[in-house]
Amino acid sequence: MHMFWPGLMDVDSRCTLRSCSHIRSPDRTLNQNLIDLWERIKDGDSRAWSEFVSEYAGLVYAVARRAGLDRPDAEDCAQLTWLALYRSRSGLRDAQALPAWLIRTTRRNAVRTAKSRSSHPTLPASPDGLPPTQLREAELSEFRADLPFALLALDPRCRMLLERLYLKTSSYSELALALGLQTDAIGPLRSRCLKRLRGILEKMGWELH
Amino acid sequence: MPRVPKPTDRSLDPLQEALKAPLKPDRASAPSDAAIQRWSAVPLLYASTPPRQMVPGHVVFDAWSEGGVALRDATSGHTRCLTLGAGSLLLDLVAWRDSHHWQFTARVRHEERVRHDAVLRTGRLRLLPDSGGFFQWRSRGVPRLLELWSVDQCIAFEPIAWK
Repeated sequence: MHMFWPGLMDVDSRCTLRSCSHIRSPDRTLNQNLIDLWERIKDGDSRAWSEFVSEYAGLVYAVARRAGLDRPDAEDCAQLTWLALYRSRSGLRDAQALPAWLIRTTRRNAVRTAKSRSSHPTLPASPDGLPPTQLREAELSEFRADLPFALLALDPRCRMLLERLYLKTSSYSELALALGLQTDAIGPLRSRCLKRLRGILEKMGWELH
Repeated sequence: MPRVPKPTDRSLDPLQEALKAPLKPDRASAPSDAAIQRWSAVPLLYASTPPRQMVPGHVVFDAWSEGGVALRDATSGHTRCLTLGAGSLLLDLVAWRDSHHWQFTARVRHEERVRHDAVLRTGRLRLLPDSGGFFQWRSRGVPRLLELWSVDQCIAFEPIAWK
């Protein structure tokens, strides 16, 4: 259904850790995919639009749900965001800023949608009445469900780093090789990427302590 | 707002902990396929040239054809139910009139499934279905010509008489 790591897959399919030294800057390749897709959309390529929608639909929907909308309202709210994006496409030049634009616009639309439905705009649906442990489990489960969408909003380099570090458990030296960095640069980069991810999750409505 | 447990720096950071979970979208927390189809159809709202394949559509059912003109206005205001068709694709249209306007609700079915990937055009109005698959609009006038645009075809329904 959704393509979560299109850029990553490109890199992975073309090289192994031993033989990817020919890629000087993987994040450039990853960024380029989004930039190319956006350029095609601006040129009126409806297939490119469908690809873009498939990739970011989950992010937009997750933001709407996190703002407290139920499923049908979240889908209608997300629709407003897609309409706004298409209308504004010629004015949006920086393709890499698109995920942040989608989050911001969806949150605004969600507040409007919630107001028009006379519900509470900032209260996410919470399973009230559950015992604390179950409530915590429900929250964590929701949190995990939102994580892929939040990661998608990260810049490709951070996305790649966190994915490799935490899902594929790559070592710092392997990561350094893949990213074209010194090994001792990975730790600070990891911290910055986690901070950015945290910021995105907070924009999506999660309160992280 | 929901609270995620406070992370400690090294081991219990929920970000890191959760990142170890498989990163596949949870179906329950992802938008429906129908929604993605609708959002993918957004460019059709702004397209100026119709899709290449033109298909004619016809009136399949008309509630007004079953009664005399006098009866139409006497029962339930000015409500009219229509079904327009082109092959196995059907467009159900319900129209009713309040004091000054007409209200319309339409939905597209294809082999008994609601379709979400088409845009309805009538005059200058261009509509995308909502989360239920309904096109809804309100206007002073009635739609005489209706067109349904999808990526591959344009269905032009025969003109509807409203008298």
